[in-house]
Amino acid sequence: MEILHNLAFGFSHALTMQNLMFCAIGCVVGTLVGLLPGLGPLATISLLLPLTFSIPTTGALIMLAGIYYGAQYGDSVSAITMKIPHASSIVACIDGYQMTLNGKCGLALFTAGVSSFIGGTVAIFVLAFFAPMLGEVAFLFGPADYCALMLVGFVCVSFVTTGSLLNGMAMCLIGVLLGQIGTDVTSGMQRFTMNLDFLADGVGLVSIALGCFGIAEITKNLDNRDERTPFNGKINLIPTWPEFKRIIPSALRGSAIGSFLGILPGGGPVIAQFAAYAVDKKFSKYKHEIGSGAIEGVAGQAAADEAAARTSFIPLMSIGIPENAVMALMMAAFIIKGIQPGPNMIAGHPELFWGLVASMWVGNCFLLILNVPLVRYWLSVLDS
Amino acid sequence: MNDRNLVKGLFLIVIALYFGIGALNYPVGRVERAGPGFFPLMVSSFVFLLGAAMMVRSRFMEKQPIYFNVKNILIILGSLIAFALLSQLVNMITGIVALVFVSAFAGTSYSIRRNAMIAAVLIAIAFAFREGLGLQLPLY
Repeated sequence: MEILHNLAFGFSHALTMQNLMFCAIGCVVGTLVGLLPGLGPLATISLLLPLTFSIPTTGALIMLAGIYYGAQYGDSVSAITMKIPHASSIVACIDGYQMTLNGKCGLALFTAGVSSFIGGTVAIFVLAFFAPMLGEVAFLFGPADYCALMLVGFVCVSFVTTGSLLNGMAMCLIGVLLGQIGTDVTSGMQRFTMNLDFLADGVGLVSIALGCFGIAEITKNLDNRDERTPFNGKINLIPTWPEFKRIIPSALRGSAIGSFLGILPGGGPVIAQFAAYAVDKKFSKYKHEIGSGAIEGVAGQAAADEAAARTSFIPLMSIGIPENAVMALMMAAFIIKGIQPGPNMIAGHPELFWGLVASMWVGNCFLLILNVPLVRYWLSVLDS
Repeated sequence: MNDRNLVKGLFLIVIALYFGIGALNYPVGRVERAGPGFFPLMVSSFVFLLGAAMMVRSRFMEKQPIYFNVKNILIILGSLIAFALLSQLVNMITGIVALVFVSAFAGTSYSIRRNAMIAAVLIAIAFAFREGLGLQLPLY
């Protein structure tokens, strides 16, 4: 019952005019960057991070979160129609694009939209249930435990990053070294500041985020010349009843897998999609069709993608460990606002936590409308 | 030299040396009473070891050629520096125009009309931030 009470409390914050507006802005921007090749949630959030200085805390975080999960919806659209994947919709290219080639593009888009909605909804309940619970455990932590947790975080991050373990470790340690720039906390001595006053407070999170994610992404994408595939733009969205019935079990399976893998540090949307796709390939009633344009091949991975995107907030908000780059940026946004994500956050800023959780569901509804009935208009953006 | 892993290791070693030698300029202290130089020295030694390990490993692995477009990176960095300097010395509108027109050289096609449009939109956004959100931007 307490959860319901808390969720109601959250909705009372998420449903204010202002926060609804920020949620809608986040979802629209997210869908747009998800659609457009070359821009991802990482680059967009890092570009928008400085803006959050002047927006109220809850609104700012609702907006940034909206961009993140909105982009997860949007990029399946470009994957299905044109086989242009982003980091998080590789799997949608397989069956989704096959369905487009079979002339069932509208059905694929509908399936992806509805499954994402189901995945998102399931994940929000998981988030509302598990984050406070984990948070309570984290209250028992002392400094030594936190140090241990940090090291676990390091190892997890190193494991997840693409490439070898050595690369990941090196990346974490370089981050630690950059953190040394500025005033030493215990002795007050200035380290590595090169006598520049503005470095006394350390290197700004926003500058690092912008440099590493924003500008680096853009320069990297300049060299990518993706070929566009022909797509005639005619779609029929409404599925038949038997088709619709095939979506549900697969989407629920995907939601469960996605929610679980999203919580694990190092999980996250990409791994979740592949896992859900693999499970569908093994257990679905229509497994023989998967790979050549099956509804299940789209539904399961879309639900897992969206579910994992939301539950990946759990490690961040309950123990303060970001599990992927976007979460690290979200963490930066919290810190800029003077809030340390972690166990104290849920107790100290309940309106922020529950408001964010509730807004995710509101955003889910926005996105369902944006992505199913209105998807034609987005496609015309892609065409131009 | 055209091997990704080798260059990666080398790069790590350079970083480790910079921070490690820098840390020696500060009192290092002892383990039970660490000085300001202790932690950076410790971490940069780890980074040094990792870099060395990567360089050694690269000898046993297949070479991955590095590919990066120096011209584009320089153009983008240059446009950012131009933006920062112009915004500081002249004003932000000049900075934005310079940013757009310089960075567009990195693209495949160059259209003055399109650049002008992008610059106009960016300036409009900057104005919106200043008026709507009250950011202190030195626009003109």
